[in-house]
Amino acid sequence: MTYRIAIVEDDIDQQQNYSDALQRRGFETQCFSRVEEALTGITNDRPDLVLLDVVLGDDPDGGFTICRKLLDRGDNIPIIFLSDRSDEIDQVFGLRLGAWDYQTKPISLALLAERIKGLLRIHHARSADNETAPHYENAGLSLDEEKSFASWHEKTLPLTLTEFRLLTAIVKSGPVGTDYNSLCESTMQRMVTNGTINSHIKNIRKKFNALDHTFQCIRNKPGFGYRWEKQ
Amino acid sequence: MGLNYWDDIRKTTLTAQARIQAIEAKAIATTLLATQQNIRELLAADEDSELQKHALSAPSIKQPIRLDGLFGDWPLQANAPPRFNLNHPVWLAVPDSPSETAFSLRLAQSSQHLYVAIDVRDSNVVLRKPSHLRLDYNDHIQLTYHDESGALRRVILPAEQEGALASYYTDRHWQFGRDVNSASPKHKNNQNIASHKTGIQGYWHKTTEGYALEFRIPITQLDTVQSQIHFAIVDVDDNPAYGPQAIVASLPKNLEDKLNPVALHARELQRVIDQLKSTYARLWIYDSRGREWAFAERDPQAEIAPITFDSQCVRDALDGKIKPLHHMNDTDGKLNRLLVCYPIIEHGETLGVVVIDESAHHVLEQEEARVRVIAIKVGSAISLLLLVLLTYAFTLVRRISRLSEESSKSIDLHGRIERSTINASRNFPDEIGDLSRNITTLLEKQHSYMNFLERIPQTLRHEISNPLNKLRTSLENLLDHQPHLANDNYIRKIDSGIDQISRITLHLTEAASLESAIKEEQLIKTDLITFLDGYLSVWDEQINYTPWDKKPAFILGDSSRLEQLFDKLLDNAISFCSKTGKVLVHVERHTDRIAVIIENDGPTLPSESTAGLFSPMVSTRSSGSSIHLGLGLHIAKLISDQHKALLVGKNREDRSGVIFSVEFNLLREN
Repeated sequence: MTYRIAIVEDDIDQQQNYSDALQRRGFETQCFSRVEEALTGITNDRPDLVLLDVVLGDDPDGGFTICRKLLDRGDNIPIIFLSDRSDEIDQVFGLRLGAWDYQTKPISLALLAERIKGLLRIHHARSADNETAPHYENAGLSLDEEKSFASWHEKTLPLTLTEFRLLTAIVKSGPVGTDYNSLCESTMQRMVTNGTINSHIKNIRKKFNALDHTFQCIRNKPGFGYRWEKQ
Repeated sequence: MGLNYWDDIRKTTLTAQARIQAIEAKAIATTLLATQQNIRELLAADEDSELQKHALSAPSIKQPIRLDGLFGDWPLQANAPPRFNLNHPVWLAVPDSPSETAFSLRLAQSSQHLYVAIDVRDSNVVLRKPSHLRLDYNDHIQLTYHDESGALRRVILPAEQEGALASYYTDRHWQFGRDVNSASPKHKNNQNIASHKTGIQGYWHKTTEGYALEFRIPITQLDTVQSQIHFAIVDVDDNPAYGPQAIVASLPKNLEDKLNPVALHARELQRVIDQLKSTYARLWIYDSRGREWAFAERDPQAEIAPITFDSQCVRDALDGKIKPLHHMNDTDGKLNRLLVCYPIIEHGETLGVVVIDESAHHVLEQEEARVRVIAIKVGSAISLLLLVLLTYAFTLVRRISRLSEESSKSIDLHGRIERSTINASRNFPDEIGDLSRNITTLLEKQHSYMNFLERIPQTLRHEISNPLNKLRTSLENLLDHQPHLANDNYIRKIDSGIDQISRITLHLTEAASLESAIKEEQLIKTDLITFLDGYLSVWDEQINYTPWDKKPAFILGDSSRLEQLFDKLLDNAISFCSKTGKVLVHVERHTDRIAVIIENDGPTLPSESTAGLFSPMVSTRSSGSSIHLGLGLHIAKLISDQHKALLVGKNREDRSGVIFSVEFNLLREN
């Protein structure tokens, strides 16, 4: 099956690069550089996934506008933001709008393609309601890797894809733990430092604590990485 | 100097007072002449008559006299009281017979009463018998005067018994009591009882030589214009006929139809000077014969020697001297009284004299009181002014202090603007308010500039990201199309350069976002020793240790931030360490602190001063090919500040390398 990816990017060179890279990997692409143009094109010819830049021409929030309008009308299209705006508030806002992921530039095209494949697989799995998807259960924590879905004592954990991958890596490592290098690789991002990992872990802990203020399962191994310890 | 000044004030005050007294006396004299139509009648009546020779004196008294028949409480008089005996007989039962009957008479007046004391010599006192309706069958005294309406009044004072004096209005027959409101005398058959309501109060007292009376008549019942009174002692011996043996009067027989003149305080004059009695110690009005027509005094209790009519001051005034001011001195020569006597002159004739007496001590006391009041008021005003000034000064100091404090707090230790609005004195329309508003304006501008600076890394990253992404994606596409270029040296250098730029943007973002991120982070109890053991285990090959005590050392910390802190310090130490040198880590414990010390051999810091060492974008040493944006130590400093730890960097004493130490406060549970 060939998936069609809509690329909304106002920089024609980057737009072309994304399109070329994705087409070489077997995707069909449709490219837009303006908000109205993108909304019309996506409406007329519905893609399987949308890759959105946030800043579109003179509109600093054009990508957010497109995302809101698409999701408001009930289109269950997976959306990935790909932007140079790396502030936490922008990422949080994009994810709250309903985007599946938020990636910051510069990005590796190979990793971008893998991420798109992963999301499409998850989307397909969710659409098919695949009961045989692998689950991982650990003392109140439930991880559905196929759907990138996590819950804590049957309450949904609103993790991003990167956070889900980090949590999965830590949980699987158990009390022995996993080091920073492994964790960096699990994010499937190009430029990741220990500090980036620590920031992600802080966010994961916050989300756990919002459901359970006694949560302390993710333990730091100073200088090494993180480990999972049952409560 | 103060004493001289006070002496000058005293002299000026007394001089002014004397002048005021003279003006006042003149004003009284003028007022009397202008308002009292009968002034001449009052002061100059019968001036040449024979009757005036028998005028009676009724000096003023300060204290009421106790009416008990004893004369010990009467004021001493310069002259002996007039005594009347057979040299003044008006009638004798046996003409030319010797008689011992005699009486002496004293008069005194207060503002309300005329006091009379009569001492009668009578060897055979005959008292009135209760069965007698007649009042003349016993020794008695006949009293005659003009009442307030000018009508002639006769009062008989019979000798009745020791005690309260009996008095009865009577008629010219001097026999029965007479109702003052009835036209005819009452007779026994009519069963009428004579009225006792004469208004006279007194005491009848039996003495060894006879008897004595002491009584008083209300001044309001007397005519103070025709102020005349007459006394006659009727001696009745005990005989069947009850006839009188002798009558001795206060006037000789040739004047038996007359009354003795007596100078009673004239109500008209008294009214004038009563209005001034609170102003002066004492005021008198005398006529030209020395009779006192009016008297008033401020304080009856005050002990001031009386002024006699024949004093030099009065005599001078009566002689027509207009300014007879007399200073009366104490025995020690100090001035103690101011006496002014001003003549009352009508048509060139001196009718009388106004005398004003004042105590110098009182005047000075009043002046002192005034000065004291002024001093108190001035002192109070100055104190109030000082208080107001002090309050104002205190308010200013407080406002300036608050402004200073708020200004200091608006910028943190690193020069960052904590808040750009100064509230202290912001709404005051004065110079401090202007200063506050100016500081606010400055801070706002500085804050905007700081925001601009702080946003530079973010902005830079945003601006670099797109071209960098274009480069990277283009390079990736190029390598996809032409895989053989992957080993090209130039392509590898391009890839490496893109990586380096990517790291730079990453570091810029990290430093920029750290400051805001750590503000929201909470520190928890952390064992620094356990942390160090775990953390340093991954650095085994690169650093050396001096073993330390494994006893737990709890601090308030965030392990991931501590990692970041020591990452920066160790990265810094390793990157600047010489090729043959070492990086050494050790721990020093103190009572309430613990320090982690990281040393490295290699180039030293250019200056012993560490100022600016932790500032962003500052790199003081060269280390070859590594990227040094000068953000590492800045981040370390931010994290150590977050942990309230002391981060210090310095050269070794032998200048063989550099030492960085982070000193944490231990929790008390240790």
